[in-house]
Amino acid sequence: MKALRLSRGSLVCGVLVLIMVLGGGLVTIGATPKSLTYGSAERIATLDPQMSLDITVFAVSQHIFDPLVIRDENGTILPCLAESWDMVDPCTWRFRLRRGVRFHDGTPLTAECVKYTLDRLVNPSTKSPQAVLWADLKDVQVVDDSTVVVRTTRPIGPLLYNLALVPILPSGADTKPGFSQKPVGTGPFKVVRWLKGDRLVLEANRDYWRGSPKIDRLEWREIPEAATRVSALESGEVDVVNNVPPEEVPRLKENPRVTLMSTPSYRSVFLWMNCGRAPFDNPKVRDAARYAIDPDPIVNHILGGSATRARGPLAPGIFGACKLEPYSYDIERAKKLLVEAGYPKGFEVSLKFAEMDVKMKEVAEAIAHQLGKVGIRVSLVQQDVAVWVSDLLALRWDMVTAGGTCLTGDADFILRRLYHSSAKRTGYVNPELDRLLEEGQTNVDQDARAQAYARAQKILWDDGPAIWLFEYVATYAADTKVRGFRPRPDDMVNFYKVSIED
Amino acid sequence: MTHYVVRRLARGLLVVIGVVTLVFIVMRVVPGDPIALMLGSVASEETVRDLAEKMGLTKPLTVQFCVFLRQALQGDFGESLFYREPALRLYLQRLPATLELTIAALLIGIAPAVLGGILAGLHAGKGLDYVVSIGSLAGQSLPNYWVGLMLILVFARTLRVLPSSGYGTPSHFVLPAVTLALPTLGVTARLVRSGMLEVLPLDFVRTARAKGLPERVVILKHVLKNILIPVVTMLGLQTGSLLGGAFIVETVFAWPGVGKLAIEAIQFRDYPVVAVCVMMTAAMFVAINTAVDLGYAYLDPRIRYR
Repeated sequence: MKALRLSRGSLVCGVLVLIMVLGGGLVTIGATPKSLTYGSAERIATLDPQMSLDITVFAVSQHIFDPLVIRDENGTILPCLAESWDMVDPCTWRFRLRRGVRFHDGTPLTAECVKYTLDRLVNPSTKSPQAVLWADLKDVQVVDDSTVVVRTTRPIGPLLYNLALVPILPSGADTKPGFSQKPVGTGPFKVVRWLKGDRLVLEANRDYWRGSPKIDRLEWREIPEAATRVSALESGEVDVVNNVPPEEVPRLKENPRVTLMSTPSYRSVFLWMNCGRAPFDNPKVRDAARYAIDPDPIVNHILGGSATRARGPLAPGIFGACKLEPYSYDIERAKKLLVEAGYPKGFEVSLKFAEMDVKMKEVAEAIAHQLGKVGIRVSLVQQDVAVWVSDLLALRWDMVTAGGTCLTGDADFILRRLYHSSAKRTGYVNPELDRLLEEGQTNVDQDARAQAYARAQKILWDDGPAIWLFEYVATYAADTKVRGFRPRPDDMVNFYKVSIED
Repeated sequence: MTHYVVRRLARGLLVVIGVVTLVFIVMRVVPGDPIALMLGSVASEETVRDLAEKMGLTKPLTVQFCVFLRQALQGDFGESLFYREPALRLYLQRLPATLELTIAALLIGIAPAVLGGILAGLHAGKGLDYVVSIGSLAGQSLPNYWVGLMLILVFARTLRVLPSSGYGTPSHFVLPAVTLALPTLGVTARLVRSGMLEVLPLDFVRTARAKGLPERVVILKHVLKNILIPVVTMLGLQTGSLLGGAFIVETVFAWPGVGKLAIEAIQFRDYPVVAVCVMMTAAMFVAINTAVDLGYAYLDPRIRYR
């Protein structure tokens, strides 16, 4: 009996050893899969790339899908699914598709897919919030399997920039069940599963036409709380995080296992003066405000280096952006201008703001203080976001602080949408500016567009309804073993070329 | 009994309707245009008008209310402005994570609380009593987000024994469940302790002891049963609020439950999702309170329902 028990025990031991040897062998045979986890402050709204205007959705989409053309981090348009293109006439663009590209499920990319994608985008029943960008699309024609023609009702200058935001879907995609949960694209990663509110799991597309990604698996996690996000990085649970709060930066700099990376972003903050009513209908009063505001202390002391001072209406890197001479901080000149404008004793105005962006309240307080020094007495009105937006759109304000990013990376998205008189956003009307913005919108010659935007920005900078204050700096932190991660000013994080060192 | 349950549920439905009404009023009376917010700054005036018409916002308020109430009771709260999916479906997708966390927190919280409360009651005024009292006071009053962050700091960042956040494996439960359990633990221990002090001097306890019953039986069978009613009531309320979503804890630990959903919906002014979260929380409270009231009869046979 004793012997029997012994032998049974040794049998168990033997089996265990065998399992361990085999198991160990298996692990060493297949190289350890390289997995990268990204901790994002933002939520993923949907995997259907046409159903959101959220930058996170665009960032996620570029991993699963490819557009016809891409915009690189310097703002240059490069071929992607379209191998080449030419303009037949200013309203007709012909794209030649790359051959041999396949979707994750094996179906080939055809011109039909491009037509389907754009048709779906503008179809009112899709209810795509991006449709506003495509109001001038006339139709899309399939010439042959790899040639497609896009026609517009009038010439569209930023057409390629707008196309860079349109991931190509497989024809008939939304008739397949679960499209918004587990879509199929041509991109470098395939969707494994999406647990809404928690994480999106992607795996490398080994057959990707630009070459397989260097990581095998990408987990895109949602961690809204900044302190938790940074802790997850430091404990090694995630490899890259975004939105590192400025107060964590000094401590993370000391951590030898963490690399901090930052870039000025397209997210700019500006002060608007309502030109549709007194006193800011008077250009001299607007000038006085320009000389009275000094963005430097705001950037340095309030934002503590998490912003850079604006040097023009458009953040550097946006197509058409130019660097303009900053206004000197000159209280005496501002006072003199107010006297000339007929306000020797200054005046009272309100400044409406909402806590939409980081430290907006402190920024508004600083502005009120600076304007107060020249006699512009500002009463601050903090508003709920919903109230603020409706007041903003209805022009029920004297001054507002507002911010925004440039989704397309092209001047047209910001300048025409906000400052063309037909936009009715600031009460500012200038026919010369309107003409320049229309030229920028409809001229397909990019050099001519850049020139038009340069002049438009000069007008806005010297006479317009806005004082541009600063652009936020986007700060990321990554584990030192992560290689090739480059933060982009448009917040489009991309892990295609990222690798992990052993 | 059946009669009682039916009446309770009918009253519960009234409460839920009341809550839905309140949600409607708050959503429509609060200044600010949901449409403008929804479409953001990219939209044109026509799109705003179209959408307002489609959402029925151009009809009189009374009509809007009736439509809203009818759809709400059918579970149709409209589409989330952010996810563009039915709000109720989003809520139901997130509910399991919250249910799991609630159960875990209650499991962690109740047993030590009852035990601590009993011991403190038995040793009233002595060292152990002070330890339990101070401990439960701390558990009750330390703010959740602070406790959560401290636990992350110690167990995830410094010791690296537990994940800081997320959802998936059993180890992911530990930190959020402990954070959530602490206040429940504190309140329960204090309730048990004061119940003990109230019941211990009573005649039936003396009788039980005089009969020669072992102390264990006296406490667990006789005393405990007599102090359970307020404890169960309180646990019911705690469970209700936990199921409504532990807003802060779920956000701190990136837990994909209804609490995180609700917080994000509020921040984004995602009205349909806010409405569904509020209504479902109210419904949970009604259901749990009904269950607790029915449970009294089991705990105290003198209670009869009419």
